[in-house]
Amino acid sequence: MKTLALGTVLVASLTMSLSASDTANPVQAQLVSEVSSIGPATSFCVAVVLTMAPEWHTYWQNPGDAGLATKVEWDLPEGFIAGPLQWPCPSYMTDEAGECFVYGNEVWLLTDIQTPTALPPSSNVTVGCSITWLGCHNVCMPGRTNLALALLVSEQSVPDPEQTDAFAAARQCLPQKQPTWTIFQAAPGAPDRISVTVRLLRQDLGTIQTLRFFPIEPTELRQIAAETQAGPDGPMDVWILDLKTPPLAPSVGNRLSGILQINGKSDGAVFVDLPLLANPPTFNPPLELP
Amino acid sequence: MKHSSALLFLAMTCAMPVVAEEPTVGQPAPAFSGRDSKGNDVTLASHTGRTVVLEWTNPGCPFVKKHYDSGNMQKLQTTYTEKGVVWQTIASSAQGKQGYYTAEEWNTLITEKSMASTAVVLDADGSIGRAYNAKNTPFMVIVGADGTLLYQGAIDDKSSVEASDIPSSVNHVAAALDEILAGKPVTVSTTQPYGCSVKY
Repeated sequence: MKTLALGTVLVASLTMSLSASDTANPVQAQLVSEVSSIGPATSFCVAVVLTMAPEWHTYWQNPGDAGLATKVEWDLPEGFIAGPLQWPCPSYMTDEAGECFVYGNEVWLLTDIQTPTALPPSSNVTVGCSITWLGCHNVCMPGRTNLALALLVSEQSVPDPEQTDAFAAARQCLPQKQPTWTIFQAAPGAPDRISVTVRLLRQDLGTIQTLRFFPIEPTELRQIAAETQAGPDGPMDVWILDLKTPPLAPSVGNRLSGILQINGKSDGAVFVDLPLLANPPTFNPPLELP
Repeated sequence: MKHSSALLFLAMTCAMPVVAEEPTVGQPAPAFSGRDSKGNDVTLASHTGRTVVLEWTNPGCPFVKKHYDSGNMQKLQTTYTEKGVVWQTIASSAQGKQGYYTAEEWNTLITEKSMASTAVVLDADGSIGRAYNAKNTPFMVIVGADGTLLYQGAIDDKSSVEASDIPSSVNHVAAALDEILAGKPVTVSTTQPYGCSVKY
């Protein structure tokens, strides 16, 4: 019990690694672990946390018309495998020059890392990463830093109680994988436009004020309008999104991939992944809402 | 999470520029007239008969610095002006915003950075930028000798701020100019540009 406490204290001071370089940069980076020790053949979560000075922003995986997505490259021990970066729902920003998909204040970029079956017990391993980002306000400042965490190896992963709430809050901002709504492509407009219908659930009636679609790629369809339409059960149970490709993008493509943000909030966003058809079939929504 | 997006959206709806038509490759390039840093009048029409490159710039933008600090942009400017191409660097930053300089300051920058473009066109009111729907720096446009828009988009195929990416990048401008000068059609005529936003 005493040894465990000591181990936890030792590792707690090592589970957060601060950006040592360039304190003048308006964006500061940290690497935080959800666990205080790791076990074999399991997966644990780490977060790259970017803290931005007021008015400064960094960019989503698709930055939009300008900017640059944050990039993380991992330096892991033998046998460790990092999953993809999990991007929280961004905020929408627009000015005369175009639109951008950004984070302000603070953003937690999560990654799940798998540990190998063979891990020497009671040893330390170092999880490192190299982070590059672009912070912008009226001007842009690139940033880069290398961070590392030392983690103790034990029989199984032990969550760090000091990080539980922070990681839970971070996960709230991740888009949900299973959209509960019926989302389908409606009749095509011009070659560079499509219309998407979002059919809400009964419990959502009256609660959705705005919807915004963020495409995964800069060249993909952008939202130019979102309107509610009265369905069989009354107003606001159907939303029509009017989407258009950016001016210098090629055609509409064969897939609609992105996330749908609800009421401008960071939590509750859903993933959208639809095949796009040249001639979508006419879809008659059921009269009863699910 | 902070939501400054609401305020920005309001600002945007009050300042929406009017773009009559989106410039399209294969169609006539939008006309423009302006003045360069040496005081000369500049129009697109005056260059009929020659291939014209328009290069939107903002010296403080990290993406522009990537191509200027490395000498990449100046090399392109030299190579192609020597082949008879007219290369106009366009400064569309509004007064008071990053990238805005007076004519005199531009002339100093031209020397300091060994810029080899034909001219730096002062577009502080943003009219040329808006005519071409320029959203980024750098943003590259190529107009053919007959005034047809032949290329618009990114300078190359790697969106980054690292000069070390340049040797392994495909330079879309060089590729298009080589095809145009050889009398061939442009293979890659439209790409999604990358860079900072133009500071209108």
